Amino acid sequence: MKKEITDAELIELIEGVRNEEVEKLITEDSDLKKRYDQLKELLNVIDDSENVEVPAHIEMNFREAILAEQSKQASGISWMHVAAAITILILGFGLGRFSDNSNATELASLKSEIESLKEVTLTSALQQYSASERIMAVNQIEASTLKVNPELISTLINTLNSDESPNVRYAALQALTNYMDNIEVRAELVKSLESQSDALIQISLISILVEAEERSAIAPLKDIIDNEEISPEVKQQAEIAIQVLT
Amino acid sequence: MAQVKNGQLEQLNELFSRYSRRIYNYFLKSTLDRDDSDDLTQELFIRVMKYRKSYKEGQTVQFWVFQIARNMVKDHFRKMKVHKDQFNPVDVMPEVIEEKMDDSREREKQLYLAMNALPDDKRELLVLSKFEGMKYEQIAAMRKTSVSNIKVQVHRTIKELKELYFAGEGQSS
Repeated sequence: MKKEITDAELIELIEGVRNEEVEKLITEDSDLKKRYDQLKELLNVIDDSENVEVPAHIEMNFREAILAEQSKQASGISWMHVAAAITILILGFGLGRFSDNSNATELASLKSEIESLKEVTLTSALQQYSASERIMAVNQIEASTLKVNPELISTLINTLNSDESPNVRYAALQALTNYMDNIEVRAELVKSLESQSDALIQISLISILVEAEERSAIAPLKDIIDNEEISPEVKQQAEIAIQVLT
Repeated sequence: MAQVKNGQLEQLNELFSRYSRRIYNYFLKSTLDRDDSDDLTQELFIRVMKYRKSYKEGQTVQFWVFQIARNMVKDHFRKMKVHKDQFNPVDVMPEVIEEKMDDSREREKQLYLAMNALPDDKRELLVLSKFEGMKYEQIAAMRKTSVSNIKVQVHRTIKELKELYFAGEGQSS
């Protein structure tokens, strides 16, 4: 009696499980050969099917979620306590001193002293602490009422260009977008475009510069298109940006 | 993952680089819907971050991540009414690559049409086994069943897919 061969046996054979009996039968039975060939074709199509690339916005959104979580995690951290303590101390001293005879000029100078202490604390936090704390410091700068000053901007630019953590660099970039009316900030962002290697930061930079209609970005954008090491997704954004800016 | 659990959230970037492509394509081939796969992938990594403390050290990260992904897909199948008649296989395929032969792309379209006709749970099993290349042992542990049971189910699903694939041959274009 002819042995019935199941599809399971044929699949196992295709998957590499040797079975001499089945192999022999395939050569003798044309119907069995057809079933074997069909299964083989199907499994080959599955093997050859390619994966789709993950859309860039998913990674971007996830990075933002990590940043938010890192900020949450970093709240209540040491340097913030130090900063708060200094501020309270100075405020206490100042209020005591001026309670009897309020002097507007000296009060203003005290306020400015507090501002600069706050700035120094935030700046040093960006240089010394963990990634979570550095993100917190960047967020504090972004949310603070500190007046824009070259020192602070330069700290953010340094962070954007040299911080080891892509998340901190991304947070610094987001903070810098508040100063896009400053011509020097725009020039620094154009320069930064040449030195960034992280695809998401490159894409964010491109979209920020396009939104600011910064035409001086065209030259580095062309360099990006010509650079073989840069990802196709970034190149595609650079091409779109050039079309918009020209 | 142990580092993430201990608060080093920076390591989540590495985890994303390592698993996002596999996870995204697992969702895409299981749901056969790009928008849903975008949302599910996004949500999965948020869950990984949120529930990082529930990761048991010693467990493989792949197992843990795919277990979360499987639960999400099961929930998705429960919630969603899939409009199978509106399915277009090109939506779940990569952009056209010039070097790729037309007939190979046609076969791939045919494959996704056949997969669309499979029941959801069978399609998901096939994705784990044949597209993700997971071993029967790994799938059995994930589905909390025996290896032989998974093997039988995978073979039956391939047989069913074969019928669908060859029944629809020549009808995809």
